[in-house]
Amino acid sequence: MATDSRKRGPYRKTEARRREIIAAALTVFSTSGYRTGSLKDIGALIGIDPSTILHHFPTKEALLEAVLEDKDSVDVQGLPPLDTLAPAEIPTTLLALAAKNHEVPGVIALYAILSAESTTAGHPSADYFRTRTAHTRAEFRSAFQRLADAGLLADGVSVEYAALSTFALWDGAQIHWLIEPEAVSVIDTLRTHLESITLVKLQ
Amino acid sequence: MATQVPPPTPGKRRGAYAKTEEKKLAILDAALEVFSQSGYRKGSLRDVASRVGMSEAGLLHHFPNKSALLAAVLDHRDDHSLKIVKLEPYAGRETLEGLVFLAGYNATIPGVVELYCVLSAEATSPAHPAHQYFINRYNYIRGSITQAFVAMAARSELREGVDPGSAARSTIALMDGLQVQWLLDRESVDMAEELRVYLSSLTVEPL
Repeated sequence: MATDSRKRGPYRKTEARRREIIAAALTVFSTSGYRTGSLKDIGALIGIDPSTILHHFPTKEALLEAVLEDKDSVDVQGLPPLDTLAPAEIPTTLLALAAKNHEVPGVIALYAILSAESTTAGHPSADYFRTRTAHTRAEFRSAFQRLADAGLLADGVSVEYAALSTFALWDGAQIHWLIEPEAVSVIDTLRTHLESITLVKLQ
Repeated sequence: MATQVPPPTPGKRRGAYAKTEEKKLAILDAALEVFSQSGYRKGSLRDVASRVGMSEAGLLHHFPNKSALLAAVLDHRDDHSLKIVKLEPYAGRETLEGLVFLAGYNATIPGVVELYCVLSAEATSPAHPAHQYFINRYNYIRGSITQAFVAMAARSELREGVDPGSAARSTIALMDGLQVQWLLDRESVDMAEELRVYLSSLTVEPL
């Protein structure tokens, strides 16, 4: 049964519905992944028919795109502007981001599952994650370059290694934390690593 | 990566039982191939069955459903990894060398790495059939690698201030994180080398 509220209802109402669908899609995609997470599951969460979802988003892929571009997720996942910080503040800022991520396991799960799923053939967000990964790696590289220039990288640690290992360690620890929250602390893992590769003292 | 306690070595078996075991192993090999190539969700039981010349019903006689088959594939795969990495208690440095070797070996089997990465991310959801498997697996690997670091610490082979438990957690996180990075960009990530540099930052003698 297709409702026609989009035409009659005020814009505000449509916007509220869109947000509701995006939030439900985030919940479903972050637990079942994109491929298995169905429009039916998403609709069921908020008591609407899948066809209603398609009034707001032309395809499932468009919905995924909206979820990834949603402000809540973008805020969480984006690195803070590291290049405006003093080099010595960079490690602390990364830890603060990890602490913030700790509050939103759903969004972290979404990124973890989608980035892994996107490595498989024909995934709609493959480009998104490839670009995002390259971008994040470049940001890490330039941040650690600035630490190196300030003489704050530990002996024998290269900028390339610092960037790649921090990024990978962080991603891996997040997956382990999602699987077993009591056994793994992303923040502690990251702190230990940053303490060993930089000369910056951390709390 | 490796995991789980290896099953007792099968003794010589005769008759129908041995045949069943043989058939099971053939199914597991076929399933690993299918899941690695098509992914767990897309890989079909029919595909697996046809590779070993069976019907789907025949396959279901050995494994009640797809997720049971998946669990068996993972266990089987772990047995294989265990032949590469020595995870027995107190192996120490050999364990670390095995992990580096395994990371290099994994770079030759992208399909399997992909299966593993996607599954572990999917399995973060408690409702996923492999959720408990991954918890057990992390516990086992974490325990084994911690013991290797403990043994090394006792022989003064670790740098000052390295905590075996936290080093083990980081090692596993790094290995898994590197796999995703590598899948996304195989040219610029050398998993074995990154791991070697990392482990060398913990040990007195570099690996």
